[in-house]
Amino acid sequence: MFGRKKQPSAEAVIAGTTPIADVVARTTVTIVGQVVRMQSQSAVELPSLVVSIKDSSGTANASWTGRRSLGGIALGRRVIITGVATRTSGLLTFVNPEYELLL
Amino acid sequence: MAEELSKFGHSIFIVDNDPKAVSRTTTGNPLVTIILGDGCEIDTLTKAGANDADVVAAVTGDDEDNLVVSLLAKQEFAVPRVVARVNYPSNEWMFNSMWGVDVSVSTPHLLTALVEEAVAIGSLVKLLSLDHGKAGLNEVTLAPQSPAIGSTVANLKLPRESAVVAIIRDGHVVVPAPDIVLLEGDEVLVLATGDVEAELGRALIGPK
Repeated sequence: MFGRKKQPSAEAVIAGTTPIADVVARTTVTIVGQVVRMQSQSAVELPSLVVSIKDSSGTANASWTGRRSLGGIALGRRVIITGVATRTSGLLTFVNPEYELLL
Repeated sequence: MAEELSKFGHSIFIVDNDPKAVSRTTTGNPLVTIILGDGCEIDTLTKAGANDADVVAAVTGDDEDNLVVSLLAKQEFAVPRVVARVNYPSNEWMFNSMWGVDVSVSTPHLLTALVEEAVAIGSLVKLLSLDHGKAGLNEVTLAPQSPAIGSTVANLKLPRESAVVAIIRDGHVVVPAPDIVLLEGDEVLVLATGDVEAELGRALIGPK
């Protein structure tokens, strides 16, 4: 593309990120992946947005409390997530992590 | 609380931002560590070991602080279990997963629940103590199985040192004249001295 920086390919490694499969629970980590599933929960009047993020090694969930949507977060979007994750029955979950959108 | 928990072998970090409270609370207990600082700050929580804590309990007298601590514990430290104290029942609705709270403990609600339980029908409730505890005003709401139902006030088998001072029936005060017949649901107020609870119970509640 003219005048545009070349974007990294889907599998390109971004410096400082950890493959999802290697994430250690309860440490601050940064992952990068693609949004493969979005679920907006409003059950019992507790809105939250749960997003599944997938990289080549695995899948993690990010949950934002009090939100039904987040600007820029959409299916297929590549995002960088930074936060502390818990691992409950094998599933990695970030609560209210920072996010960065990739083009 | 920390002392109690340490008896079960848990190691405990207490965070308090009042230097006086911190210096006052000196423990020789190796399992209990006291940290001076603001629990609403990430740095303080880090010092207190929130990153590998099994439980964080936010138990200040300030609901806002308790919510901030809870959210930080969940969001920044992924603490598996977050317990928070609710001081004002009107705030209770916020103490949920949205603020990182797994378990909320409401002191006012706990007290009301205890009181409600105590004033349940068919049990003796000590309303107040008089004369330095020697006399007491007791209340019983007559349950269907109470032996007092159908009896007149004069015929009640009350202990010697006691007297029916009032009956509340359908929200009205009934003066306990000797010929008044007691009905189910009556709230009977009895003034008594000495240790006569058991006898009062037998007369108004019936055998256990």
